[in-house]
Amino acid sequence: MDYSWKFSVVWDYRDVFFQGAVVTGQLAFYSIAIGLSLGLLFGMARASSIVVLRWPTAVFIEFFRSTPTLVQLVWIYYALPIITGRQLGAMEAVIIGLGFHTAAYVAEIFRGGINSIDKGQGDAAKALGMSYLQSMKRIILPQAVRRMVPPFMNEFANLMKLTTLASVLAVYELMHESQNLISHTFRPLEIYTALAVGFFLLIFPIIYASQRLEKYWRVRG
Amino acid sequence: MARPRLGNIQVIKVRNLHKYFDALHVLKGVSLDVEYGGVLVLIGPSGSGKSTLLRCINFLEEYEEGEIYFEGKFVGYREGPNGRRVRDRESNIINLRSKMGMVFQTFNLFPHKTVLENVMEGPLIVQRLGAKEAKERATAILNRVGLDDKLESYPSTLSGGQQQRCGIARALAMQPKVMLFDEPTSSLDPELVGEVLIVMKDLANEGMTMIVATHEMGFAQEIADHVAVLDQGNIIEYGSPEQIFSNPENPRTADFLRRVTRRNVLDDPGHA
Repeated sequence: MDYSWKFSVVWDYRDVFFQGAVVTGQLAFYSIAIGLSLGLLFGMARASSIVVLRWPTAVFIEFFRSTPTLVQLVWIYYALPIITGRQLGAMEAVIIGLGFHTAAYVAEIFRGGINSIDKGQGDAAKALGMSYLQSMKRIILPQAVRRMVPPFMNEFANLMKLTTLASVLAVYELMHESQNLISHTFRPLEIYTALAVGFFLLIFPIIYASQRLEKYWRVRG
Repeated sequence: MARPRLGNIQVIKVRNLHKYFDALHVLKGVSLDVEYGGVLVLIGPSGSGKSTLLRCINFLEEYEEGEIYFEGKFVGYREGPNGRRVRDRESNIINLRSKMGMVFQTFNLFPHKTVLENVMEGPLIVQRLGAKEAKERATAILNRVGLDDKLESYPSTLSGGQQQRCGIARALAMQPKVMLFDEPTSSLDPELVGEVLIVMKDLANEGMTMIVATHEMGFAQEIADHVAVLDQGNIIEYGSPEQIFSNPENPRTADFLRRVTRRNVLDDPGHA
């Protein structure tokens, strides 16, 4: 094969990549913010003994875990406005969709983490006279969070990759910018390679940091 | 035994207590009284309901029937609108629990906090003491249980005996009216049991009101005012330690004591 590589294309259009990366970063940031805060609430609701809290959150979580993310995004963007009569921007739709999707998984990670803490810890906190929230905040969560870090990082890495689905709704994130560039330059090999490397540079530091943190906690006990 | 007494005032009163775990009937109508400064020791085979009884008293377990009173207050429930009892307000339950100290078989120390932080936690968070006061109180108590050189250690670096002494200190830091001990030495290596029992004995001699579930018969005989023998969810015998240990009336008590003593002899070749 005598394909002549021309990676200078990537350099020439670096601004486009950079803009795409910023949008990808925004999508990930807001989705994670929604996913973490909702996920914490849902996780606690699902682990609680109160049926009216547990039941609806279970439905929400299982629904989002059991349907394809792409379908969720398309549904929120194209179908939801028919019911609500209000068209969301593509960016908003993606952030809501990915945020809810992440919340469903984060809720399960929270629940699993909370359940993995020995029941005696909650007993000891209660016996001292702590309220449920105090025992969560001071005793259970600080221990559970350490166990949640690896699955969280997994989930965040996944979410970064899922942001590429936003290209379907014509959000100008990395994937969509790359496709536009390809139709402009006819250089798919270089551009898709650069895209892969770009994502690696975005995601790998998170994974590396999490591994370091785990090691640090293992030493400190 | 010279021990300060406050007269015959009951701090804990249990009446006809029933507890079920689903279909399993764990407590079948238990009644007992503990007065201020009294030491009640619960003995009986594993699964007889000793732990469950203690856990019901500070409402770590709900109970289906009967009443528990702590300083005259109904524990865990109140009268509902239709005459049936309903779970009490959480703030009332918390208030009761904060006045009872609980020591667990498995210690249940907070592994992410140092010894000092473990003991400061209750005063700081539940009683909202200032950091300085909480630290002073915790240090004094840790000094008393002989852990003054371990303040900054994490629980995982301590021996079992040290961990349990920290567990006792954590409960004492709340200045409880009564201490509940749930088999405090059962998960300790034999050579570490003594150091924990000494701390408990000192407490009893200082007039602390205590309910102790234990398999340490010698210790029970030494510190108890009263001994209750539980078997299959019933108190089958209740009385002074002299009476229970030297002259049990119930054949099941005699049988249980015989088995336990034999086990202790086997455990401890020095006594053989």
